[in-house]
Amino acid sequence: MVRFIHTSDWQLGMTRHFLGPEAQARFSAARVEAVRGIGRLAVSERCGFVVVAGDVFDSNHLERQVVVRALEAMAATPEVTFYLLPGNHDPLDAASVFRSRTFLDHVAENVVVLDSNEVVQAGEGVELIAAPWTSKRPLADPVANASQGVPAPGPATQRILVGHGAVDLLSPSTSDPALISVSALEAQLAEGALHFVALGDRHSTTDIGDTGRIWYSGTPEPTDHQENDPANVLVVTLDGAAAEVVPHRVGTWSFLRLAYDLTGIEDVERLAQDLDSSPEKMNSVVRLSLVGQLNLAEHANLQAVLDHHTDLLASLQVWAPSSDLVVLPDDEDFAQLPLAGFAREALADLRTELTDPATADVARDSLGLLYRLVGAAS
Amino acid sequence: MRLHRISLRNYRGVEESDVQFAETGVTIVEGRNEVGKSSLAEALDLLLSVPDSSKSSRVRSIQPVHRDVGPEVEVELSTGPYRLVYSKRWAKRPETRLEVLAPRHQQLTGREAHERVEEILSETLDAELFAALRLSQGGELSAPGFDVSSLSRALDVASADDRAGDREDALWDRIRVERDRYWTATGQPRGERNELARAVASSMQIVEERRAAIERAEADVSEVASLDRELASIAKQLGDQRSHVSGLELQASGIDELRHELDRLLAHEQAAEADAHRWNAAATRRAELVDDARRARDGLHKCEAEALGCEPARVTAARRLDAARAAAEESQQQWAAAEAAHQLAAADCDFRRREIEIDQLTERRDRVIEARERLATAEAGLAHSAVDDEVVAEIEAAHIAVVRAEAVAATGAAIVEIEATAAFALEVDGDSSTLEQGSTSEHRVGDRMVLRLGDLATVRVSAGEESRLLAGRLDDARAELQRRCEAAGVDGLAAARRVASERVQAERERAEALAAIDRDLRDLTLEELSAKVDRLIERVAAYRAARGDLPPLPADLDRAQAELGTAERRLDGLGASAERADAALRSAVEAQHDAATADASTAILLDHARAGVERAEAALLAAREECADEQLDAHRREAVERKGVAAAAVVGVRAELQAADADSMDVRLKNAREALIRAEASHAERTERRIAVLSRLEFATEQGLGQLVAEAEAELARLERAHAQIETRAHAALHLHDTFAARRDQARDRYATPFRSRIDELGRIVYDVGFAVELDDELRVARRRLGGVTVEFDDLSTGAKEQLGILSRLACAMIVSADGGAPVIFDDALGWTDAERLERMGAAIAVAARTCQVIVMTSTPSRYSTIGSAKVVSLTRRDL
Repeated sequence: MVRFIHTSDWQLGMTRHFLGPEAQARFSAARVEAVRGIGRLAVSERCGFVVVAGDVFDSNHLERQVVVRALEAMAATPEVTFYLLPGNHDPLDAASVFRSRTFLDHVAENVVVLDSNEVVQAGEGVELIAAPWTSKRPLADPVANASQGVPAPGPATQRILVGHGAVDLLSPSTSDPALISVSALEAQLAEGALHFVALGDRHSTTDIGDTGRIWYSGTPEPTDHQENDPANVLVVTLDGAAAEVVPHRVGTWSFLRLAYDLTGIEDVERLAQDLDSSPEKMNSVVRLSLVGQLNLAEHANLQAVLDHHTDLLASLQVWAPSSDLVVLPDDEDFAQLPLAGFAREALADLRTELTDPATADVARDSLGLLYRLVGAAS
Repeated sequence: MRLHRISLRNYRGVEESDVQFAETGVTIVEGRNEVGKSSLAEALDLLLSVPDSSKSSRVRSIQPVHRDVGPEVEVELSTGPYRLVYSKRWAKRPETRLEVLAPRHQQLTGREAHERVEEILSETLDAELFAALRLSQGGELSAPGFDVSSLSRALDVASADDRAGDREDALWDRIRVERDRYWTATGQPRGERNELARAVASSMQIVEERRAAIERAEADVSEVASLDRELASIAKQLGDQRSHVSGLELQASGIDELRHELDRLLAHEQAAEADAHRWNAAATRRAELVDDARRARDGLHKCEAEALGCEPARVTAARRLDAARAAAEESQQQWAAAEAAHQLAAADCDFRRREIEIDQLTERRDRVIEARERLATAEAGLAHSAVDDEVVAEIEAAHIAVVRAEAVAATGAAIVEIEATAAFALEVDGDSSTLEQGSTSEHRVGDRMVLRLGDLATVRVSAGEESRLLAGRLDDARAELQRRCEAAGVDGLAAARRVASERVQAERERAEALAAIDRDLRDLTLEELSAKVDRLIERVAAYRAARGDLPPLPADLDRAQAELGTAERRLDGLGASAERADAALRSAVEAQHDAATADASTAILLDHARAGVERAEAALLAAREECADEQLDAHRREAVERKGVAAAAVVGVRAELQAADADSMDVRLKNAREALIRAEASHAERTERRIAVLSRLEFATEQGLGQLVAEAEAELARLERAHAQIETRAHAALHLHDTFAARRDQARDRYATPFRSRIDELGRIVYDVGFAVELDDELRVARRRLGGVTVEFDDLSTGAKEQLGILSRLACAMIVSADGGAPVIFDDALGWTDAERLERMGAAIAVAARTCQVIVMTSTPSRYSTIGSAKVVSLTRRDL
């Protein structure tokens, strides 16, 4: 029986532009902590080793700090061997972080870089075949040739292919030459040339095809709103003909996408309640899609809610591409603006401008400002 | 506000004064300047603004002089719903009293009264308006502004249903503040926006720089990959090239062996060629030796023939020489005879010349002797004369001294006059004479005088001291003269002068004699001159004795010189022929010498030729003894044959080399080696480049560029958001401001219209129907149009400015009167306005006064006589 952890896409050293310096620091720390968590999980789940199927690092151009902290985190569980595969973010090119002086000087014995196509013995009856990336843009299926020329495994041996990249089943882009052919992998699994395919690149935990033996583990700490089921690692058990894959949640951060149709103060209040009730605010990155129409007063209210939660959350953004919130001053607003003389006339001008798309934006902003100035006066 | 009454008490020069105003219409307050008509306005100000406790200079200035009482002001006025009587006394027993008559009776004193009045006024009176409606003479003549709230409100009422108030003004202020946060006065973005824009730009630059750095690193990565591929291909190529080179080297070593053989054969050929050359040379030399011997013999024969031909030339030369010698000798003898004749003629010439010289010298000698005699006479005279010019001068001086002394003594001496009454013998100082009867005798008394008068008496006369002294001096002078004459050996001045003149004559004669001697002696002494004459005489005599008679001696010098000329000419002619004979002789000697030389050289040549023959024949013989001619020829032929064989062998090897393509082998091998070196260099160069790129990459990688780019991008995104936000806010603020400003200007325009037309109406009373004004933002008259001409306010005449000031105040007061307003107060205005215009102004004031209170204070009431409806109040000083 073989038991190991399949993980990938640690993306260590990743920077997110929507995070402020403080949140960014915690985000980075959480990703290193996830590595320690994986080591501890391997120990508690009695896994002999961990395969990291690519994109250990977010880039080959990393600050030294990132590298040494990652190595330190892996060294924390010396009984667990980490097999690291270079992926598209950290390919095995001339600038490879795995060949950098910092890495070589500080790498512990329990860390093995899968930097060739040669078969690696990962323990009694376990062989790893790796398909490392040697450049950012390979011109062919990066795993197809990995097992070529390798003799078939012995009958008692479980052979695991560690690869990285998009699979043709999930990718609509057929023109990409670097897609991994799922059918070819399935054929090899059927032949018994392979027993498990550990893939990286996709940040969402995904079972590919029908074999139950081709998996994307997903990233252990989420990195983006697009991810469907991130924050997991897979505990894989291969026992003869049986293969068991159990996802374990290890991530501590969440990326939330929230959409609201705002048409009145009640909607604004609902939004406020939702944000209030979200747990772990400091580790939450929230992206709002706001549509609808508010008057000046409601909009001012919304602004106050957003300002408050911007301070509470790791990040709060209104996602412009999917937002279409119209602020339209209405009679209720103007009832709060009892102006006379020239001021009343100017207000009327601005209201008129609201109806013209060419001037609507600046008129709305001006009205908002007017609303604020009148409010400040009263 | 309406003023009903003002009372002054103990106010400056005014003990008590009470002025009642018409509620509507014009009140003219007239009074002389010093009476204090302008005090009314001042008093109103003081009352309303200065507390009774004030000790200010304004209060002090209104205190009456010389009286210990406090100034008092009391006013009765209506404002808004209020009617009140308000009074104050300052300085002495200060007091404030207020009595509100309407709407609700109220009485207050002191501070409460003051505060209540302030409260009422702030509630009902527009202080700015109150100030704006006053015009005082000599005050500011610039156009008054009417941007006062009561006028605005009044105008707003006229223009719209609702009107902007304090709330809108405050909002407007905030809008401007908001705009000014983002925009400068000239509409440029303010600092924070610029800074953000700059920050965005610089952040963008950082992002680009870092992206570029990443791209460079990526380029380096690709370069390493491509270098790796190239290196592999070059390495393979290198293997091929190396085996190619070693194959070629094998072939080349075979060719080298052939080359060695060729070298050996070439050396052999060279040796054979040298042998053949040597034997050929020996044969040539032998032929030369034979030839030499033959030529030597031929030369000898020729020499012998030449020696025989030499003899006759030498004989001819000897004969010619003898003849030339004889001719030369004869020529010499003739020349010697002529030479002797020439010498004789010259000696004769000398002889005759000496004779003449003897005569001349003799004459000179005689003249010298005669001059010497004259010199001796002169010198003898000079020796006896001691009187020269100096002595004469001294005697003259002494003589003059005597004459002077005599004159002095004569004047100073006493005179004794003796008149003989009878003849008697008179002896004076021993000199006796006889004095006849009746004659007189005078005597000067020098020192003392003894007169013996006959026997009768001896008279002793003594001169006084002075006379004695003078007499003494005369004696001294005479003695001096005497002494000098004696020393000179003369007996007086005249003699001295004569003797001196004789001396001068003698000196002249001596000088002449000396000059004559010098002239004739020249550098000789007389003895030498004499000796010279004697020697010449002797020599002449000797010559005549020695000379024979033939040829005869020429008669004189001229003839002797002619003879000498003849002798010279003959000598010259003979000299030329003697030279010719000499030249002929020299030529003959040379010819003879040449002949002898030729003879000798022929003999030498002959000897040489004989020796040459001997040498040549000996050499030939020696050579033949060493190697006979036949033997030599055999050696030569054998050597030539050997040379041919060696050359053939060389040709054979060369052909072999050519067959092996030796030349191109060199080129090919060289080329292959160079290609190999190039490939190795290319390999080394790429290896080196790869190392360089890798080390650069290592450095770049350690920078953590990936994170730096992401961080810079995050910063840029943040800055861009902030910038976009602030720009949105700035433009909103600007737009809000502009929208409000436009509407505000419109409103202002709208409510300014009634004000302007009111001014126009009044103006048309004063000027004509073409009168119109334009107002600026602050409702100030900016321009006046009259008779189709528009003039800026500032360019108007002083009178016109003053008139417009009055008209605009009146217009303002008319508009605001419905709302309470304030009195229009003119303090002695219209000083600049002419009579006709005054009348029209009066009419305009009267029209305005229908709806408002106008108070005119003046010291020249005639100015306002045209205001028909005016109430006139006289202000007089009743106490002073």
